[in-house]
Amino acid sequence: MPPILQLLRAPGIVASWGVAEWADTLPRLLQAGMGGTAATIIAEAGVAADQLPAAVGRQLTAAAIGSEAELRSLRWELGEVVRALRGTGIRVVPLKGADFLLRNARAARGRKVSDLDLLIAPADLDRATAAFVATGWSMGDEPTGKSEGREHHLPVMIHKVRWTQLELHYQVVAEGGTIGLDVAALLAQATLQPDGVLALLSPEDTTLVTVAHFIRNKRFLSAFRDLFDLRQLVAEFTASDADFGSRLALRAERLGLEAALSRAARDSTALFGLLASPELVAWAGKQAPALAGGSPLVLIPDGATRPPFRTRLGRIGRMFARLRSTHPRGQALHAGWQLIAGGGASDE
Amino acid sequence: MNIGDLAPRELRRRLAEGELLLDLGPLLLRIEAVSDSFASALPLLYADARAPEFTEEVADLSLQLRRAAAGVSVWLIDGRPIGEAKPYPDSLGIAQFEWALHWGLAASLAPAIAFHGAVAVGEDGRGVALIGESGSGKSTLVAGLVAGGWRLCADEYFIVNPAGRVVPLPGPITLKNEAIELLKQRGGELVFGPIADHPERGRIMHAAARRKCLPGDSVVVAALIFPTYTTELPFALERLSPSEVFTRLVRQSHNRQMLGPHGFHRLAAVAQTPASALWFRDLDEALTAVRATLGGLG
Repeated sequence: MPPILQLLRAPGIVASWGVAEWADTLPRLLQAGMGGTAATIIAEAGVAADQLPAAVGRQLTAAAIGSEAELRSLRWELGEVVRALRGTGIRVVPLKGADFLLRNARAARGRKVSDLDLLIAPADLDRATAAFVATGWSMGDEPTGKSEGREHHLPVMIHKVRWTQLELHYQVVAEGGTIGLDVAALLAQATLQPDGVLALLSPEDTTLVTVAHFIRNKRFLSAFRDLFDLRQLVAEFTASDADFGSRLALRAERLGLEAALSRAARDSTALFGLLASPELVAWAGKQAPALAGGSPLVLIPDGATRPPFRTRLGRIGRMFARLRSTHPRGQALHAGWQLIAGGGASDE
Repeated sequence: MNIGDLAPRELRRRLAEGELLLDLGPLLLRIEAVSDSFASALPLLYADARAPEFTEEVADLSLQLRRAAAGVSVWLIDGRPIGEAKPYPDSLGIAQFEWALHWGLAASLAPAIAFHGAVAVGEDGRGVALIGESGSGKSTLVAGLVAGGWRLCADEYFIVNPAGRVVPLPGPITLKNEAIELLKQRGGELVFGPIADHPERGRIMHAAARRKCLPGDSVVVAALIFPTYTTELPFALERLSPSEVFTRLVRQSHNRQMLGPHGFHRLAAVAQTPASALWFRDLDEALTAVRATLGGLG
């Protein structure tokens, strides 16, 4: 098994690693933006810094510090969102990193975050935009060529002073595909926080948002991270509620996401081992093997002791991969990662 | 084994296979590049940098020169394009490498704090940090000090670790346009690389110092100088208050915000160093002033 997967499955194993394993894994972690995550789970596994090669210790520490800074900034921006919307009656639901941060989820620890994603009822978009503009945000044009697949949020807003980025989502993922999430249903289940503005998704819906991102993700390393998030979320929610897996499956069925969830569950299992909920695993095993028309994606590193940019495809293979660099599969091959069938037929 | 000890054929093999390790001191790089101009310049400018076997040590960062189109390529760090390291003509060779490296390093240096600056150490062991934006003349000044016998401790990055110590990173000095001829005339202590024509920045050349700080050296920066090269203002050297120094350091710190409160306090500590602002046109006049600054401190 590729060493990066060994690490993400059972981080304690790195105490026995030598140069070859780390030479393969460190660049992949940094490429995937998972250096801070690795630093967190390795420390939690009880592996001391002096058990790591010097360069590994330096870079994982630097990644963890970078993550702390980004999360600190994100927490500040959440406060600014509350300040901007207080008294308007508008509620917003933080998504992904901001959601994980607000609920103090394990998935937030060491996480690399770049912007603040908020889900908002479509009817509130105009008023919310006006409130943000009044507090220093401005909406710019999307850079040329960057708009495809982004039809689920307004153009990125950038704060004039702090330069932080805000995305107002009226959908969780781009419309027009085979998967969609009922925004009204998500908002209805969200729990309003004491600040009167921010609302937290239910644990089931937080997990399904991650599943939806995985299915629709066009960037292969983002999809890889989504699957690891899924593993961490299921473990954390199941630890506090043994029935979580069953309720998640039920919620997925109500929202029409059973194929997506089962696919993600199987793919996460293929990469990172069994999910922490036996009920969810059993449920996923009973579902149809393929997600018709979706974009399922399972990735493993090729296991070569090379930096991520090396491939074993040879010249023709690299040319082929380059030609297809707009597709996750092509991107993966191009960057020296390898795709495997993830427990079902590929829809490629 | 150092870079300069590698046979040209072995150096090119390691580069082609992505097996070249280059020890910068605070960081170890792994490099893959198929480029004649880069392979030729590397032993000139990094001759005494350690080049361990790639099976023996883990690198901090992996750099790859990737062909973007015919005659045009881009450096990636850990598979990602960095900052403004966009594709440039292959002929830029090592200049393109240095630029990509400078863009990519700051995030890798935490918890150390990094300033945009150069450091040289005089014969009495005390050093000067020259801090300023690109075009301020700091690299020209540090090259002038090194040409006059000082040791090079850093160009581009003035790094201070959490214990308050300066971390040597004596990579090649970047010289541009008029500074190239100026320094070539006085270059006994400098080894010059090839000159490249950058489409936006003009002529660029790198110079390696023969005398430089070593990774374990304890470097004492006794003075900060904020230079401004100008043809319009008269020569001037003005002492700065700690609060003025603080505000200037904020603008020249690459990763202060990333370090949070620790970065703030470290920056405040560095701001206590005696500091001056320097406006200059004539290099010799400026070098005399920089040396005198240390003398004036006793």
